[in-house]
Amino acid sequence: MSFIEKKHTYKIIFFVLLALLFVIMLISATMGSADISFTESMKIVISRIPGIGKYIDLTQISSNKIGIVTIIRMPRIILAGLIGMNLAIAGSALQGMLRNPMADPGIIGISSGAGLGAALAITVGAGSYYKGIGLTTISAFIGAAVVIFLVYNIAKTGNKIPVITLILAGIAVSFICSALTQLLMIFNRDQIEMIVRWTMGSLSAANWTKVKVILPISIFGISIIMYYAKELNVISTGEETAKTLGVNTEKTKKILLIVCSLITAACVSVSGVIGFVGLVIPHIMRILTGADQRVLLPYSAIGGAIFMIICDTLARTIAAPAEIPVGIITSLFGAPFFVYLLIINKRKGGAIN
Amino acid sequence: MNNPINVQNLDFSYNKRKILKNIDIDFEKGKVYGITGPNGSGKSTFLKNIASLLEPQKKKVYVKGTDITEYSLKNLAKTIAFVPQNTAIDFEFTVEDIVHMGRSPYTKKFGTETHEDTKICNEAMEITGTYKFKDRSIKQISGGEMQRVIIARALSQSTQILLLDEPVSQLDIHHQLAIMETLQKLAKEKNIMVVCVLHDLNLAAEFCDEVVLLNEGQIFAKDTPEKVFTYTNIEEVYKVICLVNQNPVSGKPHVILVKSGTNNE
Repeated sequence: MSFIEKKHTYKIIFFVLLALLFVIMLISATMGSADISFTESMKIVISRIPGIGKYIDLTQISSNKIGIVTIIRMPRIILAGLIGMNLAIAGSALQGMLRNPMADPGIIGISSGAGLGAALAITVGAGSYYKGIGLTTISAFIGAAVVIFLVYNIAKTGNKIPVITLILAGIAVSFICSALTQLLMIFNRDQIEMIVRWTMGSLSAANWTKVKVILPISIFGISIIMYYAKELNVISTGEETAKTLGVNTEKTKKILLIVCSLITAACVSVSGVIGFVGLVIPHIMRILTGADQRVLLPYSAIGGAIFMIICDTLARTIAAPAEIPVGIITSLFGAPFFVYLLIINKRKGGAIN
Repeated sequence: MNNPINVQNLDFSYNKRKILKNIDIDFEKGKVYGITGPNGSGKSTFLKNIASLLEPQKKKVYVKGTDITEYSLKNLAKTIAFVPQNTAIDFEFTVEDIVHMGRSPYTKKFGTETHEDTKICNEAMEITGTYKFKDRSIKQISGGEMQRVIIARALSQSTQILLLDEPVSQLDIHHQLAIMETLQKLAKEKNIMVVCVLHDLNLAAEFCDEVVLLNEGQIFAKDTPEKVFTYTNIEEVYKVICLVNQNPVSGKPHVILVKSGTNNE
């Protein structure tokens, strides 16, 4: 079947996934350590949906409970969704662009750069806030940005960005950043726990300000990546080929690299390092869609959001009132699931790619 | 000047090492050309120069009378199709997906393929015998099938010029002949100009209207196979002792290899 024939099926599945995402967001909002009943939380959430919200009567519910749902849970769920979306779509784009199924947003050193930035901020005093955004967040973003700049310039050969050099430069810079982070931890033993927690990822500090910062970056980044979906397809079959098919490979690679780095850096700086999502969600979605990025990118975005919201809900509920870093959950639950998919697919005679 | 490809005084170096020296050549439409020559004689480099895959130089290669450096990548992709030596694709595209990528210089940014595109792709798959496995994954087909899929993609670009870098060197004899016959048919029926790098001199002799024999980056001979594949030429360029007979069916020259070395040794 050609793309046109399959398009209809893809649309239906996409809307099913979208509906699933919405239901999961609703359910997640009803869960938490505070004692709020399912119907109460449901009412509060629905009252905040524009259009139908005004028909919901909240007079029976205490303002405390409304606050917990609308100020604590809702921004956290939305932020988790956005982060999952960005990481997964960046992973999918990078895997295609670097023609490497092992690629993820961390491969070019963004995560360790952000980690170093965060660790620096924590050691000099992380308590300070600027308009709702912590110093740690800002410093993490700067760390990620510096790393991207370094890796990009190390890899740049004349006018080109050779893929292998890019990956190797990313790994090298990654190691430097991790070593420096560990050095900071050794010299600031009293803050080791904070740094470690940050590197394991958590959304416990989510708020609406962070949503407002991440949302426009996500919309911008995802639109640009989607705009290059067709080029990505062609590039993933080989750069030389892409050139003979009329794709300006170097320009496309540069733009995508910068955009993927930007959205990943933004995510990592608010949530800490969350591994696995960017690597595995595209692989899982490829089982549904095949390698066509025109379908894979939007599917990965929704899949990433669903996966992150489920993981973050688990992170804040299974050991409540204590909280488990969400990075641990994504790996602990995601990896076995992925292994399960690998085995099933192996039995079917295919390999995941 | 209005030939599909006209090369004037082309030099090319990799890191200051001269690969191509002073190449002057014209290719006409409706013909199949074979580029032959020993390893390192510059065959692939030459082909990549006319495909604009290497840093193109001004006023060296003219495509339909216009300097190749004046073409945009998109327009070039609508004029020249290139089939690389090896293709490895790591992602689960179907055969049909790959062939449809040949239409990408024609489709708009968010536009999907039209029925016209589908028709062209289906025809390309029919010609190359790949239509029957169009829904298979590109990762689960054999090397010979892959090569035919890549040729189908090149055909779906609907170009007047088709360049192929050793298109049959990895195929069995049946597919070697099948692909060469296809190329010959395309040149005759669609008036396409085909240039392919070939290692097998007999295949080149059998299917090419003209052959180019490259030696150390220079054109040693360019003419019909009968005139180029002579005992003296082959011995001098390849340093082998051979016999040149005639294929009893087609009357084309047929090279029988005897041993490496020259008669002077």
